[in-house]
Amino acid sequence: MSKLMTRTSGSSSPNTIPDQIESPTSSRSVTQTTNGSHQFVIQGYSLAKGIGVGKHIASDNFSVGGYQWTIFVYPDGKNPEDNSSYVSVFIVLASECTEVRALFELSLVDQSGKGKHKVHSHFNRSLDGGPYTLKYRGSMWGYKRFFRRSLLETSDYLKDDCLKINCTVGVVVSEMHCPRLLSIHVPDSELGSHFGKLLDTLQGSDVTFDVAGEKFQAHKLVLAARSQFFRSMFYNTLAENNSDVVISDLEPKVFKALLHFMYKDSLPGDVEPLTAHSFDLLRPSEIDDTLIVKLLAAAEMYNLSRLRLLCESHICKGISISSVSKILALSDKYNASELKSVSLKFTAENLAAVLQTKAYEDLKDDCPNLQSELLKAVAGYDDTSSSGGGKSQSVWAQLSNGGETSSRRVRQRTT
Amino acid sequence: MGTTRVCSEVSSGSSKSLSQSLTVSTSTTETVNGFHEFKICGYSLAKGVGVGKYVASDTFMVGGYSWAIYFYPDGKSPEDNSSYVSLFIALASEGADVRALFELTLVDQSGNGKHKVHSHFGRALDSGPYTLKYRGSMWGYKRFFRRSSLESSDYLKENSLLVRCRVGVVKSVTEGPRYYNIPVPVSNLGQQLGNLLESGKGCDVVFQVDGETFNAHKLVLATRSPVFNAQLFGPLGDRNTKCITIEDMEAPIFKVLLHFIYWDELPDMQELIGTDSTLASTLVAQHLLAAADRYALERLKAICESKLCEGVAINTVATTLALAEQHHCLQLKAVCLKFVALPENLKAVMQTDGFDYLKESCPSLLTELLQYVARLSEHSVIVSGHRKEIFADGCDASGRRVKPRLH
Repeated sequence: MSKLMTRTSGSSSPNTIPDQIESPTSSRSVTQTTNGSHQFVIQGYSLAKGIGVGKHIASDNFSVGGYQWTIFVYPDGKNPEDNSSYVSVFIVLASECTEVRALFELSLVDQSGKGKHKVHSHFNRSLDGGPYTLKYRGSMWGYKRFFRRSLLETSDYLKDDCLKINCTVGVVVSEMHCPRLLSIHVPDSELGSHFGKLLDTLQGSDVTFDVAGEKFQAHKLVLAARSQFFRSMFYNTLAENNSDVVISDLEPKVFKALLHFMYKDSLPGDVEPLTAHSFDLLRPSEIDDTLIVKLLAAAEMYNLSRLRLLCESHICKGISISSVSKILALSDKYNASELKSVSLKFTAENLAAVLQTKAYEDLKDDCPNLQSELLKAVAGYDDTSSSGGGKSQSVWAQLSNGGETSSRRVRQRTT
Repeated sequence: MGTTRVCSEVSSGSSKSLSQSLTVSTSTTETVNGFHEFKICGYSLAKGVGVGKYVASDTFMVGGYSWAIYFYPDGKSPEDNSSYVSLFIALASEGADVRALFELTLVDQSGNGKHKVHSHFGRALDSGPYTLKYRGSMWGYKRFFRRSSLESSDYLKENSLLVRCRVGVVKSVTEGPRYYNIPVPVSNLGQQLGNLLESGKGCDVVFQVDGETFNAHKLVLATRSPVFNAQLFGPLGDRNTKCITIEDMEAPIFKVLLHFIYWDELPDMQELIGTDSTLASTLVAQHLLAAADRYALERLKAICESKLCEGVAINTVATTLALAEQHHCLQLKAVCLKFVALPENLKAVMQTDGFDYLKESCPSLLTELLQYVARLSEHSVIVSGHRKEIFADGCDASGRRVKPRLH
């Protein structure tokens, strides 16, 4: 009997009622969830407690199912009646929208390694009332009494004054399916891997690049398809039969990475992996020496806008309070506009902390023109301001255009 | 056993993994620290100023706020009868609910280092840092030191007192670098190759298909299709081939095939066939499926299977089923068999021309179809013992249509 009603666990809502089938080609709604997870690390718990009832610490926003979410932790509890005896934890809808239905899971991580996490979860459970509905921005789901505070402070959940909370949101989505039929999964594009194989086998290669004495074989057709620079080189009516090309402005490892991108449309594996603190201890010259930054320079040189974005996106992972000033200088140097925009935003939102870093002192001296851009970011200055602000806009524009504000800063020459 | 298998198929088939990767953010609460020394000269003249009267230091800045030290020679509280000196740190700038840690040190001026220290720093605080609610709020001690003891102590030297103060303003920063991300648009590799096809640059092979001519690049064809690779670059292939004639394929189908080879996606069907009818789309998908199988384009084959699966209908399912069998599309075959095996569909499908074609070209499929029908019937028998049981499709055991109960 129960087998007929068997449903997939975890991502499926057990409360779905199939529509009546009217005709052989009718369809019915199958409800499932789009899941996403976020870990919120709270450092400095002992300083956070005592913040007051109803006051919270918020995580960053994270995106699940097309909506933005955030985690609120109330060290002294959300509810005055509990007299600060409990820590409260809530998941909050941060997007402007109505009636979002979702499943939630909150997990307090056991940091002793015993794996005894404290888990509250909708997943893998039969929900009598169905998924939870969040009615508007700011609606939340969670627990006023997530953990008793006195027990928390002597438990394995608190380690080095640090708490870790894992959160999973499953946004309910509906898909129309053919009646009792399966959908067929279409695999991801293999275009990149196909051409990548071509680069590996070098079958039919017709051009040789000499890069600082190292030889690289390639295919004119692929390079021409991917880059206007090479298209002009190989298929211009005035071009000679260029089967041997000398590259004098790149190192071999950078050119190799460039070829990887040309064929596979991705960054190669030997690009340095980055975390939020990878750049903290590096000097600007050491950052410039990384493969990813050299590749960024090459992307600008050869006008490969997507490669530039891939590099910017990768370097973005290295943003932290200690490193953001160095990354800001780097983005200015290599015309990485997206990276500059993100760095300015990060700096504006963490201004007090960033201004106290050594890297910022260096930035102030080396790139004074960035100060005005930073001020604009802090002020939330909008370039599309009203006519009343038109005058000040021209002043800002004038300042930000000026390479003349500092003769010491020299823009990198592009060949 | 059969029942279990059916349920298992249903369970595994409808499961979808749409998980996203884990993101991380960190909230760090720490203190921004500052120090201030306050020298009180002329202590003997200051005392006797009266209860609640104070000597104030200059203001100093810590953590974005102004602070000052207040020294009460005769004490702050009337109840203490001037027996104690009081010492406080006050918030001197406008601010609400400023949280901080404090340390007050009365310096031993004899050089013995026996300072009198009251400190929050380096201690476990049961209720956390202190909160100053508004400008003028204070933290400190009404009974900092007994006055009579102070005046004969090493803290008083040449009629001077030295107070050292440390303030740590609590700051919370939430770092989530991944929130600061730069979105990378989807790959444009296909678009760039597609542009190459349209521009005609570097073409080195011509296809004759159904009376139409198509230019292409051997390297791209070979890279994307193992069949073309063998034909153009294989040991038995002819590297000097410049013209290839394609038999048994219609020109529009080859055009779509070529588009896919370069773009890695299908063109807009309405633009291609001039109509958006489901029947026409199904017919194109059927022909395209055969072409994809012929040239070993696995992803195109999967796309066609998916489209045929979506468009399965009485008048086309038998032809689709035959194609699925001929071109080894196992998933599509299973979908079609299940559709045909449904009681309300079986008789109607058997009356179509496609079914006649199916009988002739793939007689073994009829055996498999019968097994599916039997499996469905068996499933019905097993559950019919429970009269209140309602089938997923809204029929009860006797086959009458019953509306599902809505809560």
